[in-house]
Amino acid sequence: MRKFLLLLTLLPALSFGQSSSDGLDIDLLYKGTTEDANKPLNKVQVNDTIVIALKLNNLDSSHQITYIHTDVQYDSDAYAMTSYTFNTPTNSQNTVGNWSGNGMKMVFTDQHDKNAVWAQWQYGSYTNDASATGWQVEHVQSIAPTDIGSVEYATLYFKVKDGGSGHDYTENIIITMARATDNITSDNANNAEYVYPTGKVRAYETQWITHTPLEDLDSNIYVKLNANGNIDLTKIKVKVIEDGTEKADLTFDNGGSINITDYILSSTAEYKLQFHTTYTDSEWQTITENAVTLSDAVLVLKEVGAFGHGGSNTEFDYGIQYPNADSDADGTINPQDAFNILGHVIGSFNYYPGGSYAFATTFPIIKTDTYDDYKKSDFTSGTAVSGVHEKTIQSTSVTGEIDWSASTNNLEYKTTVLGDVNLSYSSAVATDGEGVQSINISNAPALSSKRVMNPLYIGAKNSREVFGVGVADVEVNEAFLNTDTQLEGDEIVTTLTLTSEDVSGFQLKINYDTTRLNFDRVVFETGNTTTNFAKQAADGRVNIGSLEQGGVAIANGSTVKVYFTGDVSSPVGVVTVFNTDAVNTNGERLILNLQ
Amino acid sequence: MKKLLFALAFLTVVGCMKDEFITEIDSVIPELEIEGAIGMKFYSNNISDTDMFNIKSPEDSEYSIEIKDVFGNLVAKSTIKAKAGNNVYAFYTRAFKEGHYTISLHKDGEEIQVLKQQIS
Repeated sequence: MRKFLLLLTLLPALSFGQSSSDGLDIDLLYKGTTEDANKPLNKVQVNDTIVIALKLNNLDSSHQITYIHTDVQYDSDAYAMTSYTFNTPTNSQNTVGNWSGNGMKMVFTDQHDKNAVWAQWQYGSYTNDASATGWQVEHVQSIAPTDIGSVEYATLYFKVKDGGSGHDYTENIIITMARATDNITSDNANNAEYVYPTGKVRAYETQWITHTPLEDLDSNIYVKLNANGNIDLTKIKVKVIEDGTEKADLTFDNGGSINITDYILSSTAEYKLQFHTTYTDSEWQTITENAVTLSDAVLVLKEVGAFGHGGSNTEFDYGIQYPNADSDADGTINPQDAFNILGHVIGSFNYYPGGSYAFATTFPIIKTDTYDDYKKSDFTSGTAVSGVHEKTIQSTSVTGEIDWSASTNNLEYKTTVLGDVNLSYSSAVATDGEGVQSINISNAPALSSKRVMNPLYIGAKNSREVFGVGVADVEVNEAFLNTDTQLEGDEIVTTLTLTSEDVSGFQLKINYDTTRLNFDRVVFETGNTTTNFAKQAADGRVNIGSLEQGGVAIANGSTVKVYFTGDVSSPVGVVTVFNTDAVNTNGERLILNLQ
Repeated sequence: MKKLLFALAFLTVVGCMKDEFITEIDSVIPELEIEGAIGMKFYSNNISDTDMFNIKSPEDSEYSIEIKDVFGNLVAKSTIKAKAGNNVYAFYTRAFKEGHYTISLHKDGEEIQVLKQQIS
């Protein structure tokens, strides 16, 4: 695209210009700005200083260049020449003279090519009428004792100005005339000066610059995405939309940062960010399955007093958990929300908008301040917060958030997964966020098992690693489940045996070789009061779980047997178990380890 | 060559098949031979669906095979019954995500051998 724009910029010159072929070409060469030599012309802003070189290309092998002058005309409403340098042999006499003053403009003769600048010197003319107001001409001359050669013999520096509303920036810097000679007379019989002839001195490849400068916007603008460590940030992308038109599609780096400075070019345009992902649909569905588990459902049950002896309505630690738990989006938290989440765990119900596991419907990306400061009272009062209640990826205007006077702007976002009530796949809430629920003596959690405020918690055993300042989930307990797959007669049987105390719920998924096995049945021996579930999902996997909603423990040694039929000669590899989760009798999450 | 070896192993195994298991053969192809009295061996570090592997046992016994993912999480465990000598089994891979796994052989709770394998 950039090349295309450059091509468009150069099109006039390329269309009409031609090389002198065996004379002298003078190229008006754009060389970036004094701040950034690589800055493309189409990104030049008001108050940048652009660097323009006059590059000679002597195509006449019989003659040298010992005298050259080039007239460079510019519109002083758009540019101010600030300085110049020469690159010529020692003892050259170099001068830059503004001979025209303000109000002189070239009138090209149509009897010669526009870029035949020696011819234009001879046959063109100047005007000082109203059309010439603001135009000036610099006479860039070098008289050298030896060959100047094919070099950038002069470099001019122009500060870019705002020409004002309606200013025509066409050809605002242009080579109008030039003359070149070979004054070394001793090398010819007549001791004559050689003047590069008419039609043999051309402005080529570029004769002029046409560029409408961008606003003087010097702020560096970044999008910062703070996601849970389970999310691969390099698979998240953001599109920069300017007035409804996509300008860039950029990928976050490992640190969750994207520099969008090059695409925010106007303080008056409306910019939006559109997040999307390169995760496949299957990969993303797996993330939602891993994020929303039995412990999320139990946490909701506790919040509404439907688990054990709970019911304090103080189970959530952060305001952002409330909209996350509101799986039916009715503005209240009730047992149905927990059952919806449980349905998701089982694979029997999809509460996401449109029944879609798509990135856009499951993964709210929320402005950091909103995320950190969203309070329970916001939820209960029905305060709709963009990105939380909409359940869509935001495409919110960010223009108003940018402080153009600041050297750096960070557009910061955090993320969650709808239904991830315990925030296991969500960004940590800032410890000083208004969304942190107040804790007092009466509702303070037990230190041994509750989430605690932890500014930097790094990977002790049985604890999920969370890097950075924020609030970390700390899972201090774990449970164990023995798994074993055997051939028993004509059946393949996977036996799961609970080997821990104080476990009131567990879940897992069984993946099996669907090309060889057929899922037959599940037999639970988990007690009379336990709610058990086993459901074959659409992809063939079997979701299994047990929950003692009364908050009592499922007996240590309880078993779940999964029966398959099929034709295999060994049990090795035909069944795998994954996506495990468990809760204890207090409804707190446990790490469930297979053994 | 690998397919040929599979075919040879399969023919050998089928000829010796008892009950529902593929077990107990007097000799195996060289690639699956195990030095010593006990152990487990695959053709290579890469396991494809139905690749054969050998468990050599000094006596009739039960063994468990544990398969852990790259993070060390147990994802599968199976119990197999082996006869004294070489026991060739099929390894099924379609329930696995492709990747690196650690496969260990256990007897009576004791770890006998650990192998790093790629399952594809």
